[in-house]
Amino acid sequence: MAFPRSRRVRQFYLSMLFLITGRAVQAASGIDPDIRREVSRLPEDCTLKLTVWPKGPGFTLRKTEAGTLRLLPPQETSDADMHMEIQAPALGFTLFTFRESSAAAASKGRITASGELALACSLVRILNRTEIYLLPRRIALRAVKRYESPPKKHRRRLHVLFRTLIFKPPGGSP
Amino acid sequence: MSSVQQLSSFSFHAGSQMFIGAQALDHLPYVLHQRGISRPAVLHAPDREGTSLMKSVTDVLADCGMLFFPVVFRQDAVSLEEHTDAVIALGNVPARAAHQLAFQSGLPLAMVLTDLQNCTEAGNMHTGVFPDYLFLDPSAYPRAVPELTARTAVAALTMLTESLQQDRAHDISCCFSEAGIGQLQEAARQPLRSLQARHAAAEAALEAALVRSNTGAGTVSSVCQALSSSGFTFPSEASAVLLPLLLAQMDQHGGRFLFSVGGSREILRLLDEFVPSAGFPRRTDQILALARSTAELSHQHHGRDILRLFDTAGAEA
Repeated sequence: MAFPRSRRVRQFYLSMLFLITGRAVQAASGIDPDIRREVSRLPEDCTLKLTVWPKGPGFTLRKTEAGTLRLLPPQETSDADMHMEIQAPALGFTLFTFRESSAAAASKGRITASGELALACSLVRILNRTEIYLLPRRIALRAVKRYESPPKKHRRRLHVLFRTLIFKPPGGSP
Repeated sequence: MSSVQQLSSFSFHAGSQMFIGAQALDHLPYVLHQRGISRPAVLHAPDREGTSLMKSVTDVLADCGMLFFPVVFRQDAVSLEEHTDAVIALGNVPARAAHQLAFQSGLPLAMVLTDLQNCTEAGNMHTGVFPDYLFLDPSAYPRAVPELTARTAVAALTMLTESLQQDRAHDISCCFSEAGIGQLQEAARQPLRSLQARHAAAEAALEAALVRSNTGAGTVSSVCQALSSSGFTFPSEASAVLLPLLLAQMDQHGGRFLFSVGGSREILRLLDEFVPSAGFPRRTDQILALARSTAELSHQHHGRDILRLFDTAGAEA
């Protein structure tokens, strides 16, 4: 069935957002001390997955030996330790156009998580902190539950954006 | 006896899993997928063909790549394709037919509420329809008329208000009632055509349905239901006439029931906000007369209660 243009645009937008967010989380995990602390509490080789049901997009992150997160290539579809799923593309679009915060989406039952709850909470905290770096304050206020401006925010933001743009694409050696 | 109620003795009896509010319909494919359903039938009345609601349902299913069969409901019989593994019914009448079919063949039933957007339909008590899933999505009615929202609000307001004075109401039910009345206050602040107002009214209808599942139907709601069964009026229209009588009686008891929601004056204010938009015909006297005669004929306690309401109102007058 041919998808209407609006759906294709939505799917493209979500794909781009997931790609940028995945890369940004990978970059921020090497820069922000709070994210590093969060990652250090994760079990070794732990994989965290966030996807949109049924056909994606999504990303998978794995904890490395260096204590950072690495974005896995899309073809690596091994079972994740924690899989968080947004229940429909339309719900994902609402979430990633920042009309609804992740906390509100979770409270309305729009996100399901399979795996340990502690890992799901960790992923949400990591995503929230990353969004603070990625988004302007006005938009980030709507996207995260609690906005805490990190120290040296602007310098770190530039660093995260730079690494997000130039990092080695998934599939390369870690 | 302790005045603190035991939480362990409390339960709601709404069997359906309810999805209420903006984007509620987007949950439909995932919910079906979780049950292993891949080929549902969408049962709808002929006049629903091409409506925005029908389009919303088919769009969300197609969006997630789910195969479905649209089936037009006619009076005589409903026949489904061979491999259908669930029924999605749009509206009350197809849902009633689908309920029998689903009951016989063991198929799960999801019901999408249509223009009878009131809490009685959300509670499904008078029709005998008990779907597995229930959806009320105000964003699926882009051309929704304000009358619909106003009538939903009036019906919900009545149920929520009278639940506050019921002996059977648990503290948690009272919390739901207060939250529901808060939603109606929110709806009254917006233009009734807006999505926010419709969303708030739908949320209030859900709260009312939940409260009703705990406390049972109240005096006014039962009489309104009886009047609407006779085909003379809508439940919400009768509610708008009878609710002030109930408020007068509640005030006679010191108004303590309504203290947390701003008193009877606040309930009357909300009623005044919604009733002009509901488009009810002006026939208060007929409704009052019919309610009285229905109550006199009734041998149940609700009949006696409603007569007591009339006596209170008469004494005050």
